[in-house]
Amino acid sequence: MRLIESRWLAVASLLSCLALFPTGAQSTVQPRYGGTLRVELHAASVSLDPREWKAGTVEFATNEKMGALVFDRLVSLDNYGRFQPQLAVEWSHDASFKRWQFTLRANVKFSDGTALSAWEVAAALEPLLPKGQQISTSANTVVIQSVAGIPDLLEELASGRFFVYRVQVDGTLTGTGPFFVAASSRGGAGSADSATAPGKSATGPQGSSAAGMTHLHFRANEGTWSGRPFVDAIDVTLSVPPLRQLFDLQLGKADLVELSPDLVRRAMQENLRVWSSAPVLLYGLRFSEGQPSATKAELREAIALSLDRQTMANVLLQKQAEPASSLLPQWLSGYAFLFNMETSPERAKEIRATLPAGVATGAEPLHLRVDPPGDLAKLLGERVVVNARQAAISLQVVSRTPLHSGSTATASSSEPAAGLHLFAWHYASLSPRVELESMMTTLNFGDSREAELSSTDPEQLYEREKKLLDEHRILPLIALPEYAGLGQNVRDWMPARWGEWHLADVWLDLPSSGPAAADRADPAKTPVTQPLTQPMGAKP
Amino acid sequence: MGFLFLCGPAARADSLEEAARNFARKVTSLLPSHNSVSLSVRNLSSLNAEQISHFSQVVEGEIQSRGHKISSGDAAGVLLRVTLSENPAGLLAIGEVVENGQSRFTLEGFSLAEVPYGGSNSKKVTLSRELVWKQQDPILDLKFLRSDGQKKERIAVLGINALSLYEGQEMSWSLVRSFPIPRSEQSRAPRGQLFQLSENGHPRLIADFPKLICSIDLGGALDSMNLECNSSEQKELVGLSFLTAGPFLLDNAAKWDSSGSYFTGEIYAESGIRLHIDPFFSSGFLALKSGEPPAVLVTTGIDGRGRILDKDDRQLLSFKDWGSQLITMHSSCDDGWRILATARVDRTGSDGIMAYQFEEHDVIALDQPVAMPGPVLSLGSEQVPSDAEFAGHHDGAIAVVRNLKTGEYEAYRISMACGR
Repeated sequence: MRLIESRWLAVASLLSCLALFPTGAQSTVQPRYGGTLRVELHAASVSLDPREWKAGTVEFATNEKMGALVFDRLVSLDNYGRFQPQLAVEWSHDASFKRWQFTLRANVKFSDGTALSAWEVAAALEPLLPKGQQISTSANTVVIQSVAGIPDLLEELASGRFFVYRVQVDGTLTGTGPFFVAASSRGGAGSADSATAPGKSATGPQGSSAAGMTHLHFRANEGTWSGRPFVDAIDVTLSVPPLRQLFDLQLGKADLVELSPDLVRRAMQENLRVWSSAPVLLYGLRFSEGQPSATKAELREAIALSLDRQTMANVLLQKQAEPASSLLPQWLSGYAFLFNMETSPERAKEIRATLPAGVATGAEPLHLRVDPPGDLAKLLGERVVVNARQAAISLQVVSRTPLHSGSTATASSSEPAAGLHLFAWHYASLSPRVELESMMTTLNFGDSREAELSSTDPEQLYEREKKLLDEHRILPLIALPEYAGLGQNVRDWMPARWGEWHLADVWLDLPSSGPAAADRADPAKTPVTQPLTQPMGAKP
Repeated sequence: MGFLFLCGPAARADSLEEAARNFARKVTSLLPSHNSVSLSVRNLSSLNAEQISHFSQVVEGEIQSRGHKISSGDAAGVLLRVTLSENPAGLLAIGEVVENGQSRFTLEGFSLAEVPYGGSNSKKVTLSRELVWKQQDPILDLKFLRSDGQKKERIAVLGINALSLYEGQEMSWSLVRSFPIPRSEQSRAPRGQLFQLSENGHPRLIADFPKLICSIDLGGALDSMNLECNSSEQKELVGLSFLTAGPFLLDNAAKWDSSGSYFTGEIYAESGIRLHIDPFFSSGFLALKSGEPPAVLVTTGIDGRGRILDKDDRQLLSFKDWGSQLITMHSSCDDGWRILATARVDRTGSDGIMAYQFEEHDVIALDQPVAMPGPVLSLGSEQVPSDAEFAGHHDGAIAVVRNLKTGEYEAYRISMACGR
């Protein structure tokens, strides 16, 4: 049974003329190639231009998920807290963490087949980097420098908007990621208004934003440096209401849906696969100077003591949220457990009694403006009003005319001035310093001179956050995870606990024979370069 | 400008002990001098109980060395609450000193260095697992090399981008040589395996990937060893992989599919194509009776079915619910063959390895599965399969696992007793 190697020369010559044969393959445990992953999102639009993304918004998180399909970062953080090379294969820094040097991976190509250069990396990151950080290039390296030390630069670059892209002549963006946008459409899945073949061109949808689009169709980038993704394509349907998403998952019309918190229990009762992230969305209150009474420290403290976060999390949210005592969650800061938000309506009443009679009374209520859209924010706002009333504080929810969606929506001039705002904040960075700084700047609380945090020392970050909370200018309410519903055929679902989906690693455990499977293989029926009848498991 | 650190993947610094000492020094500065302290430690991190215990001991020792007495219960005037926590950047040690109802905090961030594992080679007498090697980068295969004429035992670790040779040193392995592998393509489910061939009397270690084949002449001196690679489809063995019976390399080879994730089912003999069977992920030959040549083929199909084909290529048996990986093992006790196969989980679940025996036209499970700490990514013989006469003393299997708790890749020796 032994082998003499030289005889295999004859065998090798036979290989090139043999074709693959179709199989009746079914489920298995080894990852398989093929199929289209059908995703449904609640968002009405998606922007694939990281320069446009607004920090802290829910839209940011959706854009980031879609951006991760198309773009790569210099580094990533794995689920075990280790930085992994992406477009950068090595990195180093000086003793003061002011100068970082990244050696770029060789032979990386954009999805249109053109090579990635160091200056393109610098051109992409330059508008994304915070003020004070400069980027330059040298041969196959990029250097990021700052006057202040940035020991958390890797956390910063491994998250948020720090994707590498190239702006095309027509203004669209292309990336080196595992997928590229093959088509976007306004009507049914078949009415694609742009489609490109792999290797020819790889642009985003018309413009860099998919506003008004109902479908986005991503196709696998065959030449990506990180290895061809398992699925052939990802079909994303936008503007799908939460209940419809749940039904589509049940009926097998979708493989991955967003689950709103109020539907999680129902999905679990119906034995659907439900995934939840770490808490990534914070709802809170912030005081502004819109009404003079909001500047009174005693009133702020009384409102803080009146809030019943347990009821909000356990009753309103049916235990799908956590009461929040800190601005940054435990998984991000590591020290959040040190904070404790006291609830004491009695003490709140006592403090209220010390205030002048006209402050926050029925005649002159403190106006609460609910900034984020949606029923959940409205419900939370109403609950805050009820809690405050129990402490003899009069709050009134004022109507909101959004000029644009998002948690930082501004009021129109016809609205009454509000001294209290309910906000939503979606965490985007893996650096606690960056996140806290971004929160302070965007939500406009704390001393603006202190918004630029110079230290990543956890002790100093803790002191900074403690000071902000002690002033009661900002009051965390609850923190929510993201929920996703998964189809029974979705395999190797290995998202990051902070919400990244990692869809390039997902594969579909599907039968491949029969016309139904052919339809399932590419429901969008967008132009493709390969026949749909190829066997499952065969990489095109 | 001098750079202090050169970091590849997963840069880590300090040891746990060093971190504990640093933290203890910091927290001691908050303690009133020469007072008795009540110490409590809680864990909100991913450190295990042993690590927490070690950390606590070091902190306790350091505090005592600075003149403080550790006492239990409420007798102490000062409470010191230590919490081990973590965030994306690493671990946090948080100390809360409570005195007269007032709390003061100190926080110290740290990360842990890799602790090299010192493996041993002792044999087991039941179906069991034993950690041989672990690392952060993916392992495609690990094999004990044939030890003829060598004083020290060697293992070869095949990674995605390097083939590394290690030599046994007391209770650990030390790196002898590492050869970069020139890969032009990456895969999200990479596969590769090691075997050994003789060429003009020289043993060559072969690293076989779906579209690339590399080899090293093991007969030469270490310093002069070179890794030669070829990805040309016209080169012999590129796109093919030898079939094995335990550590025996057979004169049959299977063709990789174009994605490199499974075998198409075309089996080649020296003279060309031999047979055409259902596509499979892994395979192994065995003999049904003692003394017979291993001519019965077992495969794990990509349809989730296991299949057994006799020497005339007739299907003897087909059964459901096996995983992707199997290996056949020859027991030196009863000269019989067994099958080790993985369970049906994807890469997010903890796997198990089960031993089977072919009896009376059926496959019988021999024992409870050996639980593994993550999905089994590859399963192969412990000894590098060779076309030469089997002369090694490693008759077990090697299972490569991704530990779901740590994220590390671990190679386990799977040993099986006979006579059950």
